Amino acid sequence: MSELRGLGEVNDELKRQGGRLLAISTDPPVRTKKVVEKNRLEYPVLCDVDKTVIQAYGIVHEGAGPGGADIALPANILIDKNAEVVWTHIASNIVDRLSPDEVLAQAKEFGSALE
Amino acid sequence: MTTNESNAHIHPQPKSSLVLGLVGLTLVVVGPFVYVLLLDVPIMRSTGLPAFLLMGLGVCLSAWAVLRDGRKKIKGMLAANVVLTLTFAYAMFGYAQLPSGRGIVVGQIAPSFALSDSQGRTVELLDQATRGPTLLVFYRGYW
Repeated sequence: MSELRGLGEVNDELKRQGGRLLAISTDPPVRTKKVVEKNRLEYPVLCDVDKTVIQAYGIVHEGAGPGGADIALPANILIDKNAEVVWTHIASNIVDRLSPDEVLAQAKEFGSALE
Repeated sequence: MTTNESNAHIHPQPKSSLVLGLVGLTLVVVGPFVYVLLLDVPIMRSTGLPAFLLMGLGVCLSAWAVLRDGRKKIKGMLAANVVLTLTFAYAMFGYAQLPSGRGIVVGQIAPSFALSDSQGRTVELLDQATRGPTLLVFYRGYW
């Protein structure tokens, strides 16, 4: 959850390029709302409650959630205008997160490649 | 001055060995906290370098203390240090390891979806992606 903090700047950069950041977890809306309010997030945080999206993206971590529920592997996936995946980072361990600066650099690099 | 110095030579130094052991123990306990503080630095996050340096130094100090003074108390500290360091290493490279080789790869078409946000508004990926680059950030959730 902590990785969502500090991504506002990344969202701004993507917006500059016409896009946006979307955060996703398997949390129900009640808990997601807490995350959004607590961290004052300005981008949509989506609820994949029935886990179809994490399955479709192949990033299910089986039984790792509270009460043995399936949850998402921490992952960043950048998609271009044609819905093609152009960059991914999928965590190798539970503390492996990119810093906001690293994600921002990626978003900028993608933007400058387009120009 | 001279008397003190010669005294120090004659008597073993139970107190200073104890202090040495305690310093070692402190370093080992502090190691994981330093790791958490430095999580934003990529190399430290993935290798745990600062924590392992501190913990390694702590183990060495307490081992040195045991060499100087083999009391049970001091041996106990060394044992605790070794156990704590191994536990941290296991937590980092064993327990915390996530399944690898998964996930969508570059060049694939992102599966479309429609999900609700915390306010109940629906966001459609295809609708969103056609406007510009979209970054999906999957996180483990809040509990």
